[in-house]
Amino acid sequence: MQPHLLHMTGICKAYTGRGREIVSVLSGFSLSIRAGEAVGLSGASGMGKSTVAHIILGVEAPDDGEVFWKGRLVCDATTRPDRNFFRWVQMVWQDTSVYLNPFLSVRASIVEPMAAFGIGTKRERRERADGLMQAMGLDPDLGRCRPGMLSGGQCRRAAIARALSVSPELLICDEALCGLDLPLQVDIMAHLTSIREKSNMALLFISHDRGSISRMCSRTVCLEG
Amino acid sequence: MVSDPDLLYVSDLCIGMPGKKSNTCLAGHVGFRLNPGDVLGITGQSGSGKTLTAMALAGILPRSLAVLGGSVRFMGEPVLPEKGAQKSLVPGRDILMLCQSPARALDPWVKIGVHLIDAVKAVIKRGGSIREMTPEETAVYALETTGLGAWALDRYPFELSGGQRRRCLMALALAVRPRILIADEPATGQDDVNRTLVERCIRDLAKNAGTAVIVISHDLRGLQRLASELIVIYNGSQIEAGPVRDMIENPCHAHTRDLVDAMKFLEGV
Repeated sequence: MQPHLLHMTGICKAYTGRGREIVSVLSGFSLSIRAGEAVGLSGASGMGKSTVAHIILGVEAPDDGEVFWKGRLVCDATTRPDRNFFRWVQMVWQDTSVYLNPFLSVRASIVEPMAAFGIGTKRERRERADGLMQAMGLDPDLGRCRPGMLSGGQCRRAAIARALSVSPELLICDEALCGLDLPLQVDIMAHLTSIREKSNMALLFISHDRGSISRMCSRTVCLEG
Repeated sequence: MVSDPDLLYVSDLCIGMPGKKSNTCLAGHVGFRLNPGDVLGITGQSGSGKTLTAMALAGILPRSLAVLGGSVRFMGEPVLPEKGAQKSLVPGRDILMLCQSPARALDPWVKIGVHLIDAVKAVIKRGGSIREMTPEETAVYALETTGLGAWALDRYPFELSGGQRRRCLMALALAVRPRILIADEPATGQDDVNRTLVERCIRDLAKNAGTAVIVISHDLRGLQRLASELIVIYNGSQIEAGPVRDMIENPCHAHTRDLVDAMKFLEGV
């Protein structure tokens, strides 16, 4: 059996409503993901699915609990993951039109993480970006456009291409297939599954859509209030 | 006898990028009629111009784009794009668009309650449908109907989850009760319970407030439950239109067939 890639244990997170009531979102949440495994995360709206992703990435600190990456502590109430962590963990955010830099062209956005981690030469990065755009069903000519000129679905595909550009070991997809037409959803699901099988990439697939979770993932974690 | 004009009549609407030598058409040949209480579904390929069409109707096209052709008539009077159009659609009262991205639609510096109450006050000022409730009561009623509650009044958009923000937009529509509502992916990112709630809100608006609703979605089953008519847009053009049930059971165009096949594949049929 593959060793644990990501292990979260005893995660607690509560939000304070500006000095008034305390809203507990996660209490004692634990999750383990092995290399090459696809795990679905579902639950009602506002139950903390996106918060789990934010805690893994260190965007939000947990009140209690720890996140381990390959057995090494990366995140707890006081520790944040270092820069190299993002070489191996990438995320497709829920609201991609806000997430892509509006001042960069789509191609520059896809190339940016590769350049940040020194992957390939300039030409190789550009070719990889074009290849990923084609795999996502995007015309490489759109690479020159800014995100504001693209539709919601095109932005989402560009965001998936950006996340895949560094060949992460764990990809977190937060509602990654929303806003895409159904044939395209089927294509992207097949593409992600083939990458997962070929490169042993783990996948945390956050979605409300039970159909796509059951097609993509071997097990599902459900959050309840 | 002359019959009453349609609430909204759109014919051969073409949206594109005006150029010095020639214009580039991005979405074209869209046409439909809407009457009070109608629910129209729009679906199609991602990036085919569904949202652009809706933005053109709502009058919020980006500055680089323009309506290049076609006609839009609101209660029989031209509103777009003929020159010298007398009537214009009053935002909020006549037409309201719920954007695809709630994070961009809601001002991050403004509390949800202020968003809703200001919108109701603005619509009352412009002669919109008035309830026997104060704007504050209307806002609470709208939030409770969408499964949130009075607690959300005092929250900033970033304090809510993606699905809750989207329901706040739905609450905005319930609060102002526009004549035409354009909902762009209203149930995306919602769990089953809240999706049903959003669908019920749209149905209530159409049935009780007489709002004509245009729903843009990729969820064909959701559209089948909500809409009576469906338009399919592919590659910037309208390729098929008709009753939603017939189109799902007997799709004519190859792309519509692909959409229905993909839906059945995902449902495991």
